[in-house]
Amino acid sequence: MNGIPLFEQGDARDSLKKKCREAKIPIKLLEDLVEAEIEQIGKLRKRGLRDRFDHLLDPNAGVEGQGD
Amino acid sequence: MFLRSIQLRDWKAYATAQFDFPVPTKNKNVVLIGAKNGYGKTSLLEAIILGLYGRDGMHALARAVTSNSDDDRSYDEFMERALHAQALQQVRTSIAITIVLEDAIERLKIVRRWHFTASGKHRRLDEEVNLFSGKDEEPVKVPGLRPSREERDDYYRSEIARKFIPFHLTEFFLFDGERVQQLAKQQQAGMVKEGVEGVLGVQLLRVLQGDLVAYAQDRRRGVENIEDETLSRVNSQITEIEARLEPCKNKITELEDQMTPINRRIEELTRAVRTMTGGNSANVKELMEDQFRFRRQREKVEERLNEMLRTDLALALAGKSLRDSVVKTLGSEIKRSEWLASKNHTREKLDRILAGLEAKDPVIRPELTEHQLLVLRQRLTDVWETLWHPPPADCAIEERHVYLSEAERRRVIERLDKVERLGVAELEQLLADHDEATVQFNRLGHQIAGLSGIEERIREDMNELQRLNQQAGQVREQMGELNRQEQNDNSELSKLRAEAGRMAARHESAQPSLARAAKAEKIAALIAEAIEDLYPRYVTRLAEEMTAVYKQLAHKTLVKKIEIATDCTVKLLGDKGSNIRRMDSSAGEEQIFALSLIAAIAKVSGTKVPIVMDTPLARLDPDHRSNVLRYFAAHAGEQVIFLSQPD
Repeated sequence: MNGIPLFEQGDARDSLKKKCREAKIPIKLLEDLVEAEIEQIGKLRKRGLRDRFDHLLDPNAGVEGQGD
Repeated sequence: MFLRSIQLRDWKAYATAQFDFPVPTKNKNVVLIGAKNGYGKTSLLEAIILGLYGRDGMHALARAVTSNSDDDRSYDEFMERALHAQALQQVRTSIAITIVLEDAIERLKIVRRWHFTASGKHRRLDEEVNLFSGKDEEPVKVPGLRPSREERDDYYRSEIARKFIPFHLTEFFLFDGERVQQLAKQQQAGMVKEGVEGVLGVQLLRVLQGDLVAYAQDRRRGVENIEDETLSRVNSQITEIEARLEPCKNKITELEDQMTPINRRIEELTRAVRTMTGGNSANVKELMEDQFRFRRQREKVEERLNEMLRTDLALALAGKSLRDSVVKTLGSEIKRSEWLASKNHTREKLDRILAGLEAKDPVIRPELTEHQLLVLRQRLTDVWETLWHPPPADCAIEERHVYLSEAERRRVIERLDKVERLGVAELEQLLADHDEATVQFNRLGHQIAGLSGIEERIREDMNELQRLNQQAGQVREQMGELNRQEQNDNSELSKLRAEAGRMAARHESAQPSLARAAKAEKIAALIAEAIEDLYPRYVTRLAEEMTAVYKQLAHKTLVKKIEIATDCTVKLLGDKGSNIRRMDSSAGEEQIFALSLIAAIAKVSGTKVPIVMDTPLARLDPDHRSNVLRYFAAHAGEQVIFLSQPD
């Protein structure tokens, strides 16, 4: 996961996948949210972040239950 | 990406300068730039940091810390000092730094310019940054039709963070000796923790977690949160009323069924009574009362006729000429009576005059004789008589009706006048009234005679009718009450159904926002759990890596193991497991400790970016320097730039 070494090393990704599966959150969604947050780094105001969240967290977008 | 080149103009001691760095290879990845103190090593590091991040990079500059607590002011002061000393004299009022980053695929050129007034004041708002991509150096396009300057700067900042490293990690990859010293101090555990969390992305995850929680709160606030329970409550109220309405409707139907035979019987009885009474449902008693009324009416007419026969009719039959003659005679007698009354009245006055002739005073000279006095009396009386003769023309000569007083004569005249006004019309009306009353009286007589035989039957029917009407009234009253109740319940039901419909619609429209909020909260919780689970593992790995690096860099072998707690307190453990990190350790030892930590963080993070270190070797003895250079040289392909003193 770009920008989050915590989720990349060793068995961390497998562990994260398992947690996502259990929570029925697609790991791609988590990656997209991290990406959205990275894009905000250094900005004076978090412009557009709510819209990105709206889009990514749209209940009709994607299928839940995918762990990876 | 690695640092390919940096070009400076009017930056500190550099009027112009160009540094080109070789592509790091497996065997050649360390760049060593040697210069004595004051020859611009730190200026080059600062140029790299500020060239990449502008004002955001200030926090990574140890020297930038000034007494001024105002960040803007501090930045202005730093930049005003950074402008090359000769620039203003030579009418150059800007600084330019151009950095080129590269990797096997991409090339990014960053050009940043700072502008100043003629007197050297920093024009902060005029700072420029431009990005160019690829070998042809195409300007990096900012999304949007007309992006503002702030939007453009945000986008460029994001691009640099994405393609190189976020500015908040610069202190672990681009740093000077002072920074190493700060990290080396044990009391800086907080800073180490911040750095470790930053380099692992934990800080970013915490920010994301906070943003998701805030987003969820915002989404929940933005919609009318109709809980399922509220909707269920309204629906259960609807069910309750519907359950109450059902028996009410049944009862109304039952009462309507009861009314049908009652109404039918009432109609039958009414029809029967009407038939028996010839369309008149009154009983014999009532008929007799009516008959009595008509008899009284006829009797009154007869009384009036008798009276007329007794009084007026004879006078009427006497004829008009006779009545007029009598009226005229009586009128003339009244005149005569009035004339005589007036005459008698003046006679009294004459008698007083005649008596006056007998008076002694004044004396008449010569005195009148008896004869003269008699003649005088006679003459006066004759004169008075002439005043009353002849009597008035309409005055009777004699009184025939001497038995009548004047008032009685007048009453007779009035009576005869009344007879005069007695008309045929009144008489005819009286006779017609008499006939009508007689007809009605006789009709009712016949009717009563006809009813005499069935009166009992009518009475019975009427009694039943009365009882049924009473019963129907009671049923209707009950039905009215039930209808009112049904109406109220239906009204309430309509309101509740409408409310339930609105709530369901709002509930439905709120669902996407609530679903987003729930998802955001779930992910925030997931992130918190992942950090709690994974972070200690990394700290353990960090400690293992640091132990390995430390053992490579330090020439003492006392340290067997390095332990890092989750609060980033670092312990150097000896053979027996005791913490042997000494407060009075040498500056060189501290620097080795700090470099081990930085190297371990860089390795554990897995981030492939250049490391630029300013004078990290200054406090190290030759053995330690060799160890450090050997260690970093062993990281094939990762660019490491040392800015160091020549020795």
